[in-house]
Amino acid sequence: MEYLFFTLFSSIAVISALLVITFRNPVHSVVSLIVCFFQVACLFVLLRSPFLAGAQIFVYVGAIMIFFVFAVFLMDFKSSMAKERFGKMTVYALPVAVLMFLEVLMLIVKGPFAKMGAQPADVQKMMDLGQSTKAIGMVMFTKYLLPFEIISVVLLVGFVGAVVLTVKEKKGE
Amino acid sequence: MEALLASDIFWVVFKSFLAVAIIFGLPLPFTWLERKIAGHIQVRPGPMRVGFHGVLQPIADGLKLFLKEDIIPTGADKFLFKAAPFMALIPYIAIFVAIPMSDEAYVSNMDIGVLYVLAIGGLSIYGIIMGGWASNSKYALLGGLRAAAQMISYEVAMGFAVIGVIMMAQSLNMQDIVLAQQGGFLNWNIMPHKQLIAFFIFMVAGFAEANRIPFDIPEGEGELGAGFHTEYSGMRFALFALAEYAAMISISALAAVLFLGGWTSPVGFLDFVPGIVWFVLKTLFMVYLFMWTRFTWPRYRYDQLMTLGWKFLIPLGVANVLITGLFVIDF
Repeated sequence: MEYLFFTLFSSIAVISALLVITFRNPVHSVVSLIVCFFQVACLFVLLRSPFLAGAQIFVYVGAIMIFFVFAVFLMDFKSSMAKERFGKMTVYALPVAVLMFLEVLMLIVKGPFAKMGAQPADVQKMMDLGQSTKAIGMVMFTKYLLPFEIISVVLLVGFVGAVVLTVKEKKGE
Repeated sequence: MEALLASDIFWVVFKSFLAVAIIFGLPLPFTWLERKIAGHIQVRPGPMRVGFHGVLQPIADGLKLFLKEDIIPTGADKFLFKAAPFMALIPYIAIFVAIPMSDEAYVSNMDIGVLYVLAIGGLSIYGIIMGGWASNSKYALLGGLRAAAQMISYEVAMGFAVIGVIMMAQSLNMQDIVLAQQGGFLNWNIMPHKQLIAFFIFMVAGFAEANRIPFDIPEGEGELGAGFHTEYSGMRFALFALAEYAAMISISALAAVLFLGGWTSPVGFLDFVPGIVWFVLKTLFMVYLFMWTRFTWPRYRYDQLMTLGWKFLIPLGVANVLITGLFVIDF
């Protein structure tokens, strides 16, 4: 049963991710990206971390993608539609993409994940479903407090930067 | 048969069907109720002709919408145009999975109940934006964009309001939140010594999320034709209307659970009344509040709406979270 759902979610995720880069209309790309993120949230549920799934939908699907849609609507549509499937940058992009793919493949096959193996029963025992939210909170505010705070500062810098770049001071004031 | 009744999957599917049936069925009596309330508020009888005091009016309306031609405008994005009404409706049906109607009547008792409801509830906006864009019409697109801006602004405020409630219950689980309000109406979150400010923020944001008057600027008949659903007709238009009702019902139910004690009884000696009755009564009261507001308030202007959201509700929400934190913390 679980395997069936995993196949369903992951195949839809991969297909929609491919559609993001093959659709010519940017709005269609955004819609398939939403579908992709949603499927990733479903995969989080299968991995027994409902909190992450909720956060994924809340933050990525619910908030960030709405800004994407906004940006796409405000763009000049006709000119931004891709005319040909492969642009000039393909020559540079292709080797980088292949290299990244190989690295990820190495990590999966030979990295720490491969040694762990699949032990769904253990994972279930370790992570009681009712406690996942609490566990994440505990870890985030004790062990990983510094990275958490640094990320907040980085986000703040982003906000301030956006305001500085877009809001220009009126002359004479 | 016994094996079927014993299996979890059967019950999940059965409950889900029941939830969907309820959401599809409720708007019929509610449209009648809304028009009656509107009528009596404006000192006129409302629908009277079809059936006794017009009770069959919704069926006549539904039949009319069902038989109308389904028009797709030229130049519209066909797939998204057709899909948008469903994208608007489905999230609100999905919300009902997590809402506990009594201590036993729920589809799923999720550990992340509140987070799930907020996350899924925010998705219906895509139906409105995509419907507005796919129509290939200026008014519809403007309506969709307004809806998006409104949703982003008020979802933040709503989130802050709900955080206060979560802090009181120390849990995201809806059942835990209800149980934390047990023991009479003095323990409900709506009380001044609990989360009255959060309730105020939640309801204002709820009106905005459901696109109801006074915050129905995505529709804005006065300036945008009919907003995002200008180009829709027949059943697809009916689905958008259904989505609006489903939004109203789900926000009412959510308010009942988070602030009005859910399925618990208001006073001790009424404990024998089943929980589901209390839940339905509280939800109906909140729905009435939505309808009451609709016919007594004018529509806000777009900039007024944004000012209210960002400069008033969100700071108030943050202050509420901080103050709640001071009281909840273990010294």
